[in-house]
Amino acid sequence: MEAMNKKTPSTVVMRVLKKQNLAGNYWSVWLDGKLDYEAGQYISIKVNDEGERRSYSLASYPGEDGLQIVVDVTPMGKGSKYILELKEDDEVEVLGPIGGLEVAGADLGSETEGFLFVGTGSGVTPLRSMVFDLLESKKENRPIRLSWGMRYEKDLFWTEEFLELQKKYDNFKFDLVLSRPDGRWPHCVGHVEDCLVNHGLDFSKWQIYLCGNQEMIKEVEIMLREKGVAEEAINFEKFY
Amino acid sequence: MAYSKGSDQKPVKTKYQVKVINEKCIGAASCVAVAAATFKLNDKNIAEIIDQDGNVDEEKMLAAQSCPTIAVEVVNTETGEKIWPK
Repeated sequence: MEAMNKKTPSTVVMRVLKKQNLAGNYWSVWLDGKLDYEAGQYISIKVNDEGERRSYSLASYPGEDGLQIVVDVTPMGKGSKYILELKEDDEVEVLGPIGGLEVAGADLGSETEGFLFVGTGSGVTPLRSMVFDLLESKKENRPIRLSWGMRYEKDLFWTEEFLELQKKYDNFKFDLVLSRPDGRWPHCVGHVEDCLVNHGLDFSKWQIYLCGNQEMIKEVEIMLREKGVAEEAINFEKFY
Repeated sequence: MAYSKGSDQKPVKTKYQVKVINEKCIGAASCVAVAAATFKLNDKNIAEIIDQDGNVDEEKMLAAQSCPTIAVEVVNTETGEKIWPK
């Protein structure tokens, strides 16, 4: 299922506070605007004078200063070019917050035994927001697991931050999976779904949140359904 | 900006007519997120129109502009002009 949005979107002009290359083709942009949003939602940014827009998930979580998006500029389309040309203090027209994944309502009910987040590439963006919101704001103490799949080690970012979070919270576990590691990689190698199987965990009463490419979502969904996870417990957002 | 879904803002009749180009739609659902009273995803994950007057014109235009594959066309029925994509 796909989560429904709760907040009403509106158009707001924001300023670029900071733009930073995280790693490889991944760029982070911080905006200074105020937005009443839920962790996991996204915004739509006007990327040219014709009015075309591109959607970017928020990496920040409610209560954190500023709004952060992460953009993989590999496609080098209109959105990528717009982001690359952005400079500090530039104005950006934002429409949001919009839909996206949310941990809300029944997901937080007492029958839920844990929360599994699985992302590939920049699909980790809304998952960061949701994981931080659960741990730092909602003080969630049930098991929370984040599995992030990337191709190359050189493209990794936020790993220190997630490892720090893992040290801080006993109920949080961070799994890093590379499909094409260089040399010796001490963690799991392959696809995120393969590595999830290796854990041998029972996710049948967990809430699941998937974000990334369509193939990953399909494969993880099939694997989890075979392991007894209810269709209603699987929330996803496809990145294109 | 007022959004019509779930509010008293529902327009009686809008002048912008939206159309989904099925071959271009990839099911990203941006249109649904922005104008949920006009668009929905069908069981094949393709956007379809549920109510041409579900959202006000401005919302329908934003929904079309939010589509990453430009799969939503907008026609001004008063002039007959296609106003999106330009």
